[in-house]
Amino acid sequence: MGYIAIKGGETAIGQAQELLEFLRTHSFTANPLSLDQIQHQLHFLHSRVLSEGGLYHPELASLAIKQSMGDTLEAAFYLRAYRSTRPRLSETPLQGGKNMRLIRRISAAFKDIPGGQMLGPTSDYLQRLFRFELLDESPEQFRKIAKSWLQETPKEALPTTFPKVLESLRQEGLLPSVSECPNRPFDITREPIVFPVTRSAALATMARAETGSILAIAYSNMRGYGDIHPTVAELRVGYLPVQMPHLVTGELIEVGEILMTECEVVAMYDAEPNQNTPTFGLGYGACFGHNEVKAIAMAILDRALQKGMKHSPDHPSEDPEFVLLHIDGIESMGFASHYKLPHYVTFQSDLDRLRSTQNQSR
Amino acid sequence: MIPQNHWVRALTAHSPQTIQSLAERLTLNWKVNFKALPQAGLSLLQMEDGVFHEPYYLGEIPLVSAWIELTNSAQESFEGAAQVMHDSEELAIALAICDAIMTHHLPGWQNIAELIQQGMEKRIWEDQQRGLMLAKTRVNFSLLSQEEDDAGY
Repeated sequence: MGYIAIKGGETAIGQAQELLEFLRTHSFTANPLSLDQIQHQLHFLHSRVLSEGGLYHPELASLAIKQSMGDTLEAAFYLRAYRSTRPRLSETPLQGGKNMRLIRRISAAFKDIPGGQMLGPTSDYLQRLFRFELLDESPEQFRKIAKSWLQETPKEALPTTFPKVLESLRQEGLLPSVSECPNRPFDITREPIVFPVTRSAALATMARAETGSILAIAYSNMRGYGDIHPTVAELRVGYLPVQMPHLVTGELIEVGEILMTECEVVAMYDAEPNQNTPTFGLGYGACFGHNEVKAIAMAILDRALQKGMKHSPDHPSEDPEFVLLHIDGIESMGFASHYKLPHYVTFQSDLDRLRSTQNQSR
Repeated sequence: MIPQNHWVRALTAHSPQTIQSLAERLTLNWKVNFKALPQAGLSLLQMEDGVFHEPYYLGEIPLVSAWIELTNSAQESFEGAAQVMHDSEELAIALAICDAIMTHHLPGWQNIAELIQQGMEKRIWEDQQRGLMLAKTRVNFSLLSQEEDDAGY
């Protein structure tokens, strides 16, 4: 059974596109959304699109949200489509999360961590009650909030870079050793994923995964289809300075910064028969933008996949093929959306077969 | 003097137009040649995972690069280069010109130094805002068994 091309419909397709624009603009009194408004007032939506698009381009992420009218899957698709038109100039030297200029840093493992815990901007402790005053927020009230925040500040600011919480556990010998000779990372944008995959391919795939998809599979592990039992050693949100070598001197130069979220989890320890000293399991999650749920889900799945790669997977969330082939938003959205397109011939074939079978059974 | 590895960060605290117009003004009597064609595209961001210290690619970033040579009427040449997370080749060229002028202390370097200084002050202000975010939300959770609370934070 094959697909068949259709023709015609050009006028209707053109009108449908115009209608979409009408839908975006038909509130005749409203002003168009500015890209700055989208980036700042829709902070988490913007972050989500940045990470799912796999391209850190805040301005274009805002444009994608505007153009897609808030559809995260479509918006990420715009970024992916754009990136495919751009030349690859280089890859950066290895960047480390410990250089992040933090705005948030917490640990669920220890009450006291070196440098302290800072809640930063979070909704973790909010009661989910509506603030009805926002229904009619004036521009003056809106601008006053940031101004008064800046006035009510402590005398001294804290430094913005801090050591990693895991470093102290590693010094105590409670963690597995770090990789001595890590392989060159796998580039999922240039090479197809073939199983078994390397951990770097899994991390890159999860870093640009659709948030809901990666959360759902991690949630299956949390609920009982898995036994990771994670503790968040550290969750950090901040701006990573990106460094590139100077073209003449080779000295590392800061060329910009990215907002990112990073999560490191400590999992149940492994007591391997051939291992002298048992150590904790570890999982790592990171993504562009401010998206904590995604980073936590990724860290849990990283640990689950390590287990699945080492032994055979006992649960879907430990199976690299199941996880990595079902978390990409663009791919899954594309497959689901294609069902909307004409399948007249294939369905006619189904009809013919059913009618024929019914006739034979009569 | 602000070190070279912070020049791009400091200069990009200003608008691209500010940097480009200064670079244009300072090179009126110079010939600008490209040592390599300016390029705008993407760079793959290579990160170290925080638990096993293995490299992986977090995603891509926009990147533009320029490598130029300034030549004066005495046929003396001076190189400069810049890479920046942006799409504009014109901006990268202007930053590369600033880099050449600053590195070799060519005429007008004080203007760029001043711009770098002002830009760095803006960046320090941004860093301070982030430090304040941390300071204002610093928390010291107490266990329920302990008498003291986290008053003062």
